[in-house]
Amino acid sequence: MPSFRLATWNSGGEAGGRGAQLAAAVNATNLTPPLVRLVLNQEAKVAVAPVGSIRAQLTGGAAPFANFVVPPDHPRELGPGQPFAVGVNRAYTVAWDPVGAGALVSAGPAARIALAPVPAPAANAIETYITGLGLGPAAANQLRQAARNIRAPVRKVFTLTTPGAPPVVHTIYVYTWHAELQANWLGATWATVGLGANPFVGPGMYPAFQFFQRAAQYQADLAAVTANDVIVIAGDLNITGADLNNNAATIFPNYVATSNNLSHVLAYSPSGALNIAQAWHFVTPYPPHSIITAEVQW
Amino acid sequence: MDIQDINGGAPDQALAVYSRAAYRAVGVPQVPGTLRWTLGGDTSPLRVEAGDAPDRVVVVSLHRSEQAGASTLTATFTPADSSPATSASIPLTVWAAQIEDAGGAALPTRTLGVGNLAHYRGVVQPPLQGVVVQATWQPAGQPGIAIARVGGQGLVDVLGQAATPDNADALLQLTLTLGGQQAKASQALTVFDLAIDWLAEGPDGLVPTGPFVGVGETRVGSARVRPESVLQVQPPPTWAWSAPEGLQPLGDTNAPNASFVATTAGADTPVRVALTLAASTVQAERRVTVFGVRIVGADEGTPSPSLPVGGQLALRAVIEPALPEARCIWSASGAISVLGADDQAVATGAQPSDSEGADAIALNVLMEGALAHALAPVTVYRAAITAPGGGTPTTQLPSSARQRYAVATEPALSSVAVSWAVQQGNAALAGATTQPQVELVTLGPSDRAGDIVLGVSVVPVDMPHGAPNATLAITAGSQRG
Repeated sequence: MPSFRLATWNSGGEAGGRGAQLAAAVNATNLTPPLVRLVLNQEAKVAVAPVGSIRAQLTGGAAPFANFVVPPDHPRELGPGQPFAVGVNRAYTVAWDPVGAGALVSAGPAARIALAPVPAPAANAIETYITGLGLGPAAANQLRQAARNIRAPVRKVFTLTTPGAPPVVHTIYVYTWHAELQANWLGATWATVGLGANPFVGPGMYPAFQFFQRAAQYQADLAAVTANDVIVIAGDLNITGADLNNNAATIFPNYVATSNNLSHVLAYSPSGALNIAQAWHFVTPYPPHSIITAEVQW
Repeated sequence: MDIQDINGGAPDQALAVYSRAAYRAVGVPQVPGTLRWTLGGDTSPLRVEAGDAPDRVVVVSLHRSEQAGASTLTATFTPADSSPATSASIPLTVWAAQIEDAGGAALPTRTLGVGNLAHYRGVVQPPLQGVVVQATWQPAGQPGIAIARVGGQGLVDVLGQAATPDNADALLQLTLTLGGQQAKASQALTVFDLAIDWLAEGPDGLVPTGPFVGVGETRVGSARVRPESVLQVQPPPTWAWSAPEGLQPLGDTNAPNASFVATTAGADTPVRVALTLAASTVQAERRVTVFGVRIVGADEGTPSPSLPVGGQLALRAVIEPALPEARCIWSASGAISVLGADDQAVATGAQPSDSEGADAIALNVLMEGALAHALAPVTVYRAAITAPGGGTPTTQLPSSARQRYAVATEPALSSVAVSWAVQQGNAALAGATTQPQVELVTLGPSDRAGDIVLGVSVVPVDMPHGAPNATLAITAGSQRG
């Protein structure tokens, strides 16, 4: 049964002792096997010089990140073609351990996926979804602008080889996301567009999840994933565990998940052994997000 | 033989700790012999010193007795002729003042919140029956407490008035008077208070911020306790944050720090935190104003979702609650030019949008470092008259003919209202004139080329039609003259 362990944290920047907090959490996690092989950081510092405390830990060459790879170019949470984006534009850091048994092998650079609706020459799934809601032009356009300007997930693909005769190569489709708050897109609430009450009780943005699930890249990964593989979505999704559970039919159905406050790790595989184990969270002096570590098994 | 006090009155049988009492033996036989003073029972709390005469003695008290009457003072006269000795004894108790919790808790509280009351009782230890004890209380040490009420039976209520510094407590001092003796006791008190630091996310962590919050912004409330050392008290404190409906919690509200996102406008509303520690509860409050902004059109409603190239849209910012000193910054994406002046702006359609909903007008409102925003999506379109299938329209018709035309927009719009009209010339429209296609009927030859003008107005649904967005000049028959 393949598995790997990850840590995810919206650190709110990299100032102060955040790096030390992350190292302590991963060290504590690593007291039981397997070791954490993947670190996902949302709201990471954009500039790599002067280096932020988290990047410094990840690249410092010391345990628990001694062999970690941390590319110098890391995607920003918002892109240049988003003129109406809201909020401080920080970055995602995706760092991984490529060494030893259970190592993750990068299968391409991390990159934001596209959430914008495309109407022509053929409408993409996001545009089709919006027009299919039967809204007037003003309401539909609010959703279109939201889809164009919200923070998009970052995708990175790894492979993991498990021993066997022959060895089995597993593909891990990793998405990390700092999802939007609904309060930033009040014109795109279910109530304001005329579709009724907000399905979320907490601060999350329901339409954002609909855009993500209809993104072409995500749909392609969903079609490609086999029982040997897994899709992992981890980060600060800005929804509560209750909202995630209560909307399981329309938000990442068939995923397993572990949650702490607004941060989550979700996983999907056709494998019958899909599971999230050793799910821990570590409270830090930097509220409101804890560090989550978890082992994804499939 | 008897023992009296040095002045001939009843002897003190209860001595305060660290005090002295003088006694004398009376009725000593007037025969040769020796008078000895001895302590009996629990002698550890007492010492005897010789008086200024053999029939006198001074007793010095040290620590308090374990129980009342556990010690004795005995005067023994032994005659020189070996006849039987005569003695007299009194029980002695060394008592101390003690401060106890008035509610019966094992230990009196030593932690008190500002504005809270702690309840104590001054008692004599060991307990003595049938004595009258007078208790007086006063604050001492660091300022921070006041005596709120003194009750009977040694009761006192103490009010926490001001936070004490780290490592420097207030003192509650008790003086008990019993007979002619006094004993004191003190209770150290750490008095704590609470304030809220209101913080926003900055480039390098959290920074203090003012009372304004734009809808969509996040803030962190951080409870500041003085003195900080009080947080080490066991059991640990409990926290409870509360905020108005317009501030939605982003996590645990039972912690020293709580995060919020502003969701709806509200003026001067309170964010509160309550800290409960060692039976005290203190609260702090910070008043904030959440402001939001809407973009409205000329009719105060939602702005039109589309705008023809060259058309103009009057817009206004509605800030809730009203903030006259807020600064409005208008901007728009590529197909729109916007000219803003304070809370008003005029948007002009500059070129067709790439697709429906691809463009918008944005408004950012700044108020003392806080930011709210609104977005009005507007599609800029160009209309054109085409052939029914979308190709080039016919502009040369017979003098008596019927020809269908269609209207197309660039980009395609999902919902518009169409109105056709013959602007001029010898022609008329047959059938419906509000559909995407129309039938033109020529009624005779043109006087000159292109003197029949077919026009179409394309506007958002529920908007009034104005001048045509597109026209087509048509010639009927052979041109005369």
